[in-house]
Amino acid sequence: MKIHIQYFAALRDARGLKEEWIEKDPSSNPSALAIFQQLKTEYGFAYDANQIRFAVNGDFAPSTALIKDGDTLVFIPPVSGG
Amino acid sequence: MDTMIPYIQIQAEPIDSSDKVKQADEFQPPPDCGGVCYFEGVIRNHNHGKKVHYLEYEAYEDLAYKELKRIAHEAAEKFDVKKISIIHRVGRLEIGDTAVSIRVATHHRREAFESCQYIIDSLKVRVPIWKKEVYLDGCHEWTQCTHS
Repeated sequence: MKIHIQYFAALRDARGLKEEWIEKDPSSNPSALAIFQQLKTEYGFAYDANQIRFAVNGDFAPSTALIKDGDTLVFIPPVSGG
Repeated sequence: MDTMIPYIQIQAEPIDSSDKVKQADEFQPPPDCGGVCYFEGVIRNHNHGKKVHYLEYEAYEDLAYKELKRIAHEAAEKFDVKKISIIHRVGRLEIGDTAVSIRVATHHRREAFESCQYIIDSLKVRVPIWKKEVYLDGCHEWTQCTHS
């Protein structure tokens, strides 16, 4: 299955991309957290998983949210608006 | 019933480049409101002992709009706010620029102060907007909200 990942701020700098599509085996039933940890290992993100919030298809989702084919997953590093 | 519709805007255009009096006039408090509170978050020239050259703000806009609306409705319910306007800039901002403008109108002044504070405090920890500080020494850093 294909998952759309979007990156912002320091994570975009670390990954070097605003977005990408990744392939996952649907039978692995990946959670948002599991996908982040995989990408963190692969690309060396400095953030721990507990510093990241997740958004699926445009709204906040728990780290345990199961990601399906075609979903858009966004990792939200610590914010600093205002 | 909550019939208050907050005005929420995320924009690259300066908030305060045009006539400030006109902007104040446009936020007309309803006739039953006696308290109007304005907060502006302004870019300052220092942070954590470093001299700031300029800032860049970035937003995950779809979700930022959603979360700002949720915060506005929470404030309206907690503090009986009758009118709310929240404007946040994105892009490059210089020292002295206004990054965020919050305006509330309530019946009485205590709720105006408290709701305005609630909105900015909530925005700073919840809304997916990030700021990168670029320092005079050329270094830059994506900051985290650590203080009030």
